[in-house]
Formats: sequence, structure tokens, C-alpha cells
Amino acid sequence: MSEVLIDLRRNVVPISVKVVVLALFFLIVATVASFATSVSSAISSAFSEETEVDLFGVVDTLTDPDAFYAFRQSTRSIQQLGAFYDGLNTSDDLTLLSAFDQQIPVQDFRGGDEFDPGYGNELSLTDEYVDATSGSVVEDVRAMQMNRQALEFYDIEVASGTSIDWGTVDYPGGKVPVLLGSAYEGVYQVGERLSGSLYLRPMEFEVVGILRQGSAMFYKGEMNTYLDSAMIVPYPESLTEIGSLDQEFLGILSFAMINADVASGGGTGFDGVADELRQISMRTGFEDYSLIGVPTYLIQFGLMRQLIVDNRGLLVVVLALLAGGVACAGTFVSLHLRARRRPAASVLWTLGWSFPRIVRLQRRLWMVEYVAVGALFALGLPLLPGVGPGAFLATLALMVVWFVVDGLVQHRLLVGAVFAVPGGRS
Amino acid sequence: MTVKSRAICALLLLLFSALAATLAIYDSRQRAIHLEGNSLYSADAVLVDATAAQALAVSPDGDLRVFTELTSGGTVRAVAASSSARLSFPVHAGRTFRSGERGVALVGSRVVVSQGATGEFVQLGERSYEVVGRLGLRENSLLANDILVLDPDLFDSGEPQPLVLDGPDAGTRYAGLHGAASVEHFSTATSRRTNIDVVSPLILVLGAALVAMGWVFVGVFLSFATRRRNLVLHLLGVPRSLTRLRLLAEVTAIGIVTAAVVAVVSTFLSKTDVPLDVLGAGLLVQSAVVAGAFLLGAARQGGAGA
Repeated sequence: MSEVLIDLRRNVVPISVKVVVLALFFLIVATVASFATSVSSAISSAFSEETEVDLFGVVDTLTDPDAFYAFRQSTRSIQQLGAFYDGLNTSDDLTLLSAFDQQIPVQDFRGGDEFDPGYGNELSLTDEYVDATSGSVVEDVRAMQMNRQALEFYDIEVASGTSIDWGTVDYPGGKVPVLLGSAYEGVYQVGERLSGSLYLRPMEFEVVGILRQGSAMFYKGEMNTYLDSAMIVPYPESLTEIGSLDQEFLGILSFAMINADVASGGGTGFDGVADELRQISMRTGFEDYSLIGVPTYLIQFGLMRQLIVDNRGLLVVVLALLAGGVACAGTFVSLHLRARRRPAASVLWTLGWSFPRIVRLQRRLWMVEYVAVGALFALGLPLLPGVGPGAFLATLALMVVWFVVDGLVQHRLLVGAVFAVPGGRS
Repeated sequence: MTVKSRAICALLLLLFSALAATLAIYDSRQRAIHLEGNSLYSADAVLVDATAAQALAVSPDGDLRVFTELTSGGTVRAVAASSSARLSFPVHAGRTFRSGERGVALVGSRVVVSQGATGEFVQLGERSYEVVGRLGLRENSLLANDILVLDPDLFDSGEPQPLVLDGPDAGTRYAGLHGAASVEHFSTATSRRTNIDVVSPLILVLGAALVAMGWVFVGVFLSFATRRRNLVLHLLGVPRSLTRLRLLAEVTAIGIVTAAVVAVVSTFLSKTDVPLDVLGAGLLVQSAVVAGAFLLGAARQGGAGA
């Protein structure tokens, strides 16, 4: 035991250098591993095969304000539109992704400027104002209304609370569950209710969940539309079922909902989707629509996924180069330590220590090094961001392999050192 | 120093200089990836309402630039910058802007340009800009339809307008002068899809610490390897300080040579120029750390005798 201490005191500097260099290296490995897991999760949620589909847009063709107004006065027309939406929403051949970012006036809003619809874009910030229908002071809040298929397609998940229970979306009763973006953490809690309105209809919004940070969707040509400071309001599951609501509201809501994206997998193509729309149109009687291609989705999809994968590739290459460098540096230090330990080992050999005994001594020294690396690594690990279990295990595995190889190398060097003594025991 | 010690010193310095160069190349490549995924904005970009002159004035000698959109949709933009700003945008052909230039443009690979006598040109309204490079890390990139012109005259000098102010600490500097409510953060960055914005600085810090430890080892090794020789010289009457100075001069010379070799090789491999000021600063730190470690090691031994 005292031999170990003597050696440590003598060689404390090279040993410390080796230990610190290795600990830093493994911390880098853990960091890169955590990034790799983050890439995998991004690709499997937002850039997966299921979401690599052709996207099209459905728009209404009532661009003339008079025609638009006349349409909304007709109960029958609105009912046809509602049936058309329901037909699209329940179709087996295509996935309707309906979303719109209508801002929501909210009473007694506690959040700051970053939730304002004009924040972060060229629009100016809005002030509080008195709401005409309720008479109370309200503030406009950034929001995104969407249907269930959009929520599922873009893999929008909650970090706390629960996701939307679509059975509780009650437009006639004016009570709707909502999700809040991750920036709302600390501003509102799950379970609180916000009083506001949608298209002038008073609503009570109950917060059921807060989104994961970095939740995003494709909206109006931007693949990275982040929802961190938005309120997610669910659309009603069926427009025909709420057909008895007041016409003015129903008309505006229906037109907002029908301007949507359509995802079509399985190579259906533009003509296939147009056919399906035509059939639904004939069944329901609504004809004032148009189908357009949205090529930017797939283009941005492919390029962004490539960028993320390239980024991971870059880090892996850097890590490999670092590993090579650290292996060389470690070997240098081991050689240096061998030179420092050679006199002591040969003296012990001459004094009659058996070879296994010398090896056991050396092994204790190596154990000290490895334990020190492990300890420093454990100290530094909490300072790293989100190293998940997978990343941690991968780093641990690499550490074990590294120590085994290092032990073998040191053993070889030791054999060379001990048996190279001239005039010693044979 | 013996030949063997010199060789080991040179190899170690070469090794750690190569690691430092790897980290530097990684950093510049990572920045390029970030810029491509965020419409050429860095993670520090903020939205302000000001004139270009006001915005750039928050850091007159700094590395700031302002952008304005010339068309809605944001694919055609103008940029203006302080005279010492580094405008390194990711390009796969040609070059990026140089400090102090004006009247030039960077365009994506799908933008139609006209051939002129001295090169390619892109027309914006009545003005014609020379295209000096093609945007994007590859031909098929997220920036394929973008046009960026370097022209301060396209910024309205009278009225404040919404501008993107970008550069190190752009938001904090502007907020420091004009109040926290004057800056708005925004982001459509692809980098937010993963945790790279947290991971990357960490890797650079850890890597720098690793390289520094390596330099410490070089200094320590030097003190061990030359111990006997220094002792003999001291006994022969040579002042310790002279011996140490000579050794440090030799090591610094080896350091400069190895750094030059690494710089040349990395410029060749990565096809980017090495900024000389970064190289100089790195050499300075390396020499300081190695010298410090050596002197500490020598002092310990000198005090302890043979």
C-alpha cells in the first residue's frame, strides 16, 4: 500500500494530467451522445417517414367580398361547407391538416410581450382594449387553432399535463381545453381557466397541458413555425354537429377551418387527391374550393433533415479526431509514467518481489487512475445538458473499453520495463 | 535538450495544435450549419425598430450587421455592417463578403443571374450587383432562392424601420442602450429542433480545456526531461535563468513551427483561411501555458535539489 502512495506522490503531475484529459474527453463523449439522441428524437418525430408526404392546400375561391358575404348569409350554403369539411376530415384517403393562427383576446392576461401576436415579426405590439361583446378589458394573445389530425401529424406533445381530450371540446357550451406553449411555464398552471373569445364568441379555455420545448409545425410555408409562445386551441371535431350555432360565428369558423393542408401518403399524387375532393364535393354540394400544390413542404423537409443529419455527422467526425488525439496523448503519458516507474519496478524485482506481486502493485496504480477519471466524470456530468440514459450508457461502455485497452497497454509496457533491467534476476 | 526530447516536444505540440485546429474548424463549420438553417441569422439575432445607423452604433468597432427585407417573404434582403464586421456566410462557390465592401451580392444556386463582362450580376430594381458567391453549404440548400445584397443605401436613413440586428451579444447591447422592451427575440432556426445550441459551446469549452491540459503536460515533460542536464549546467556555473530561457526559446520556436505546419495542413484540408489573429492568440496562450508549467516544474525540482 505504501508503495502505491510513494508512486502517486512522485508521479502526481503526469497522473493528474492524464486523469483530467481523460475525464474531459469522456464528458465530451457524453455531450456528443446526448446530441445524437436529440437528433434521433427530432428525426423520428418531425422528420419521420410518416411525415415525409406530399402536401397540398385547400383554399376557398370566394375571394370577392360580396360573394363571400352572400355565401355566409345562406344557412344552406354554410351547412354544405360544414359537410364538405367533415367529409375531408373523416376521409380515409387523405389527412386533413387544418390550422390557423387567429389571435385570441384574453381577459386579465398575465403573460408578457412575448405572447403578443406582433412580437418577433414586423407587426407592432398591440395594447389592451375593451372587448365590445363582453365589455371587459382584454389583450390579444398569439394562438394556433388546429384539428386533431394536425396535432397528431406534427407530433405536438406535452411536457406536463395531458394532451387534448377531443371528447371535451365543447363549442356550443363555450368550454374548450387548450394547450400552452413551453414559454408559458411559470405564467399559467395546468388546470387554470382563461376567459376569452374566438371570432367574437365568448369562450372559456381550460389549460390542460404545457407543450414540450421546441414544438413546431409547418405553417404558411415555414417549416420551423415554433409554438413555444402560442396557445393551441382545438377545432371542433365535426362542423355539422354544431350546425345549430349562430350563423355569423359558424360561417367565419367554417371558412377558417376549410383553408387547410392535405397530406397524402402512398403516392396518391395531385390527381388522386383532386378526385377525392371532387367526390366529397358532389356528395355535399360545396364547390367553391381549389386544390393547390405545396412543394415547399417536401423541399424544406428534405433539406432540413439533411442539415440535422449532417450536423450529427460533423460532431461524430470531431469526436473521432479527438479520440485519436486523446489516445495518442494518453499513450505518451503512459510511456512517460513507465520511464518514471522503471527504476522503482526494477529495484523491487532485484529485491526479490515476484513478478505477479509487481503486477498487482501496478494494477492498483492503474485502478487509482481509472477511479479518479470516473470520479471527475461523475462530478462534471450534472453540468452537462440532458444526458439521457442511452447517452450515459454509451459513454460508460466506451470508458470501460478504453480502460481495458489502457490496462493492456500499460501491462505490456510494464513487462518491457521490468525485464529490461541488465544484470538483474533472470 | 536532446534530440529525443525535442522530437517528443515537437510531436506533442503538433498533436495538441492539431486538436486545437480541429476544434476551430468544427466551430466555423457549426456556425455555417446554423446560419444555413436559420436564414443566415445567428442565435443572437434580434428584431429592433431603428435606423441602420442607430442599430450599428451600439457597438462601433464590433462585429454587428443589420438586415432588412426587400420583399415580403424574406428571400430578398439587404445587409449593412460596421466596417470591421466579419461577414462570413456559408457559400459553396465563390467567396463571402469582405469587410468594407459594398455593392455586391450573394445569391442562392437557383437564382437567375446575368452574365456581365467581369462576372455575374443580379438586378434589383435599377441597381445591378456583382455576385461574388453562391449561398448554401451545397448547391441544393435551404438558401437556394435567397438573394443578399451588401448595400447600406437600401436602408432608409430617416425613419426607423423593423431591422434584424445580428452579432455577438447584439440583443444585450441594444437593450442596454435603448431598454429591454426595444428588442424582440424571434426564431425559425432549424437548430432549435435539437439541443445543438447548448451542446456546441460546451464541446468548445471542454475541448479547449483538454488542449490546455496537453500544453501543461508539455511544460511538465520538459521540466522532467531536462532536469539532469539543467542540474549539471547549474553546477558548471551557468545561471538557472539563462538555462531556462534558452529552453523556453527552443520550445517556443518548435511551437511556432508546429503551429505553422498545422495551419497550412488545415487550410488545405478545410479550404477555409485561418484568421491570423486567432492563430497568433492561440500561439501566445500555448507559449504562456507551456512556459508556466515548465517553470513551475523546474522550480519544484530546483528547490528539492538533485
